[in-house]
Amino acid sequence: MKALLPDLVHAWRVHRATPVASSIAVAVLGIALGFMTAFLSLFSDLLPHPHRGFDAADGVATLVAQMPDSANPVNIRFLERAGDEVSGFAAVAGVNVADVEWRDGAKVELLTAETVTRGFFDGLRPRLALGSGIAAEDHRDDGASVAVISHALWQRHFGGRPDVIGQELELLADAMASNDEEQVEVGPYRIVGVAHPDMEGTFRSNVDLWLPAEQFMPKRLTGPLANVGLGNFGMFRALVRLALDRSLESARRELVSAHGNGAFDGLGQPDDARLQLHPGVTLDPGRQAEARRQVGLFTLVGFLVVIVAGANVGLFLLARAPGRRRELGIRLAVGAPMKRLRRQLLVESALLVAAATLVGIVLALWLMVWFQDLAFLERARFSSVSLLDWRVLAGVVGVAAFVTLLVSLAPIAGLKRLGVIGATRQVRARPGAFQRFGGALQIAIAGVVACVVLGFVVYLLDLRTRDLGYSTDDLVVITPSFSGPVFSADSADAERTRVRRERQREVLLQIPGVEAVAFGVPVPAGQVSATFSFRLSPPDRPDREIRVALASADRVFPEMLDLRVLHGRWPDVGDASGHVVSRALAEAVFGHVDVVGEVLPSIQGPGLSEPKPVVAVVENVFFAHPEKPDDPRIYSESTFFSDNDRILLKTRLPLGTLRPELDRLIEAGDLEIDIAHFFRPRDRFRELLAPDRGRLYLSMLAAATALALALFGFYGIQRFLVDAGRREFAILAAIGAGPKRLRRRVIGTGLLLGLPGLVFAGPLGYLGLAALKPEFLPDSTPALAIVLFVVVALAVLLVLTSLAPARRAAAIAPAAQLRED
Amino acid sequence: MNKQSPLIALQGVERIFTTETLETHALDGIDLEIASGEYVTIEGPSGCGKSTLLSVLGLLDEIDGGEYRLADVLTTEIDAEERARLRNREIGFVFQSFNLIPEMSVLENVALPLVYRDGMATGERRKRAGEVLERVGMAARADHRPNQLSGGQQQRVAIARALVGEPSLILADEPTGNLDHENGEQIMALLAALNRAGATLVTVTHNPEYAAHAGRRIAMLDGRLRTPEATAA
Repeated sequence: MKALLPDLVHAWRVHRATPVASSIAVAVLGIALGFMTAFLSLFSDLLPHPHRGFDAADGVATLVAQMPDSANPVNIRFLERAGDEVSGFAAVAGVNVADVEWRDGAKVELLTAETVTRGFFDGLRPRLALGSGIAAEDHRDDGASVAVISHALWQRHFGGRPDVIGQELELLADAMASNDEEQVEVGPYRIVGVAHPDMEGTFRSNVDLWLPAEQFMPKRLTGPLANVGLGNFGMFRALVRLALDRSLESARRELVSAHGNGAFDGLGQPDDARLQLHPGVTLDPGRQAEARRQVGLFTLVGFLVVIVAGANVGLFLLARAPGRRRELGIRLAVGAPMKRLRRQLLVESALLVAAATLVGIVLALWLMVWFQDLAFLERARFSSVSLLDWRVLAGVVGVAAFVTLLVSLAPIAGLKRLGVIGATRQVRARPGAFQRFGGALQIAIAGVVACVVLGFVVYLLDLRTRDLGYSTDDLVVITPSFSGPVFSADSADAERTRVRRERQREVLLQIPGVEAVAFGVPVPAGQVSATFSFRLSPPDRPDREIRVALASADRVFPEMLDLRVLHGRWPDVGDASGHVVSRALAEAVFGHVDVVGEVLPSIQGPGLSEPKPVVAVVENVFFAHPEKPDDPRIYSESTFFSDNDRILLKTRLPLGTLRPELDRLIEAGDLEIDIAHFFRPRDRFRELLAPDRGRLYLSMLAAATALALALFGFYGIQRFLVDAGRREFAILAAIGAGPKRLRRRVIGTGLLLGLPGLVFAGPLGYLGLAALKPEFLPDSTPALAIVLFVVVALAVLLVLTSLAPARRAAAIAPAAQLRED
Repeated sequence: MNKQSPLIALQGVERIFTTETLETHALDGIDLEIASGEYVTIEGPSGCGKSTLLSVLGLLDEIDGGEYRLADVLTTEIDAEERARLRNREIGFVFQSFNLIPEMSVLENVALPLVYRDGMATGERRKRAGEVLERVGMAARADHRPNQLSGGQQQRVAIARALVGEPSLILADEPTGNLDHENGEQIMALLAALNRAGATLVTVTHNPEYAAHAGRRIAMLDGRLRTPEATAA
């Protein structure tokens, strides 16, 4: 270490001698390391971690009923069955989050509660600071009203006093039935325990208390829901504790096997749900895994950008080398061994990289705040980002060490030529091996990243311009609060639906500026999962089952959304003699599109069992993300869930103007709805594309950085070559090469220098795009065209980047250069 | 070109080098005419402006005042491209430090000026370069690199490069400055032979012995021409 000190001091002097250039080098490398550190931190955060709030947390795992888009909540019967069927589970418990109000005298505070099922406290064993957990016998509807409060609530409201045990909390909660604003008094809850500070919540932080679900939830089930029974409500996220002698993998196999044997049939899970077991506690492992893959991809891109920046800084040091040649030559002459000089150069590089790493970590702290708000990361719902995670820091240090070697490679390699260069009066004006390699590497990486970005750009443009099968111009959607019975399949209800629609339509059309009113569900960019799906078998393939979705749509609905009727005609109001089907359904069931007149087989669903002919075929509609094709669909004027109709208004009124009008009608009692959501589908559509935009912005940022660095580095090489070759350019000028010729020579040299990079960028860019399909990019992405465009664009950029050095070469005064020293 | 006109005609030529604190008149009102076929040496102490004058004559440097006509072309009125074209076709340079390009072979170095002439095929360029190398006695070394040659050999190659474009004017700046006496003699003999064959030759030299070969000797001091001493060619 003592021996390194003089090297460090000298390295500091060397860098200080060229403050601007050294600062640029640190900034370039720092930016690249900052990006990579931020992504590495996010990636680390998305890895499964043991939950610090549980004892022996390694044994706690998440059980998920995974659907294509998200994890499905499960009901209590499912949890109990899982505990019975899988011997690898020592305990199974469910967790649900609810907001409750705590009335403390005149004071009212909104608290976040986790309602947990039996097995949570005694099986999963969350850590406690005081008292006990909720006992098994209190997990009954007639159990005692007991609660465990968080350490934060204990400190905040009870001053951390131990006599908190036994005190009572007077709680109120929203009823789960007809009216969201209805509250029920769930009574006083006696505090039996205080959670450990590390137990801030199961799936989220800032949880204030834990309540027994079996005792608490039934109090919230009022009205028509009161008789359904808590066991049937799929509202819980499931956690398990593995049996002591069992691994996650063996428990997973047992779970999947039990599922395959039908152990979970009839417990509220769709047939296509896949049961999965994930290590640790994660709310939505599928989405988290997807985010992890994406962040992993960006981490890789970040690492590539670091390599580009490292190569750049290496070239910068190389370009500075002619100025240092004399110093190093003198050191050699006075007997410095080559090894010692190598160490000196390595220390100089290490100092630059260390400064850049500090800049990078500071930048990463800022970047992560921004990255977390990006939709595709935000939806992964990770709770915290721990920059100082030892794995992240170890990774950053490893990368920094690698970059130090990369950066010092060129100057160290240059040492070997020191003697030769010193002996000749001619200065080489040809790129060295490192310059060639570094230049090619930078251009190739920039090309690959540019290809990926262009892939995302093309994809996003395609998404934005894709024919979704509907128009949302001047459309506003109102989602009324859930009310009344869920199922209504008889004709009397159909008549009631018609009456209700006409009444509401009449009222809404009184609002000046509202041109038309339609009713239906699903709606564009709305919650498609709000609809119901059933199965039918094609007439010629009774062994096959096709998943069929239903839509409720009144007569105005197709006109307002501009749905395209391909064959037949939409039935008149009240005409329920035939089905309107989507193109997808026609093709899936009958194998062709024009199926008007064909009889649709019976479907296992309320009001659908009677076979009816098809009266119209409409174009497919992408109600959700444009990449997510709609299920084969039947449109029905009135179906069993028509009471959940969304109201569609055709109006140009701004939302801010429309809402008071609606509120006025509701307050006056003319419009008998409560508004749960109120939105323009166009805005929601933008939100749907937010994850895609987020990916695009991130990759654009990475590409812009990589491209800027590569071009900056390339400019540096060209500039260095021109400066080092001034004498050669002067000779050429002396024998008759004009400015144009000299410029062409520099540009030609540049293209030759960049050619290997371009040659590699093409196939690598193509492979990069191929690797992103189909997970991140559609198969239809025109990879070849993108690659060709990027290669040509890069070549043009290389020419443009060479222009300034070319002008410099053409402006060299030959007389001065050729004059004998 | 008018037969009566000199190949080179300088009138009141000035070249001034300016720094923040100093203004140096490297050429201070030079009037000079050199006829086609002449052999002229420019002599003078270091810093007197000899090399600057040669650079101006060779269109490597621009003038700050006066007029310079080369082969009846007023050089102050042509752009950089035209100057380069004129340099390529009318002028051949020989430098003290040879100024060969180390990465190129002897043949490639010699053929280089022809590269900047449009329309000449590579084969033709190589053929002509080979012929000129033959003339200077370096044909056997055509494939060598400059650093594989002695100083005298490198200067012969440099002379071959100056000749390959068949220029009307050869400018030599201290062509023997980096050579030993024997090689120096040979180079000067070669240049004299070229002059006898018709080339106009202007050399800068410190060596009075070599200067004695010239038909006309011009002396310079402080950027001005001293009394010209004409001798019989």
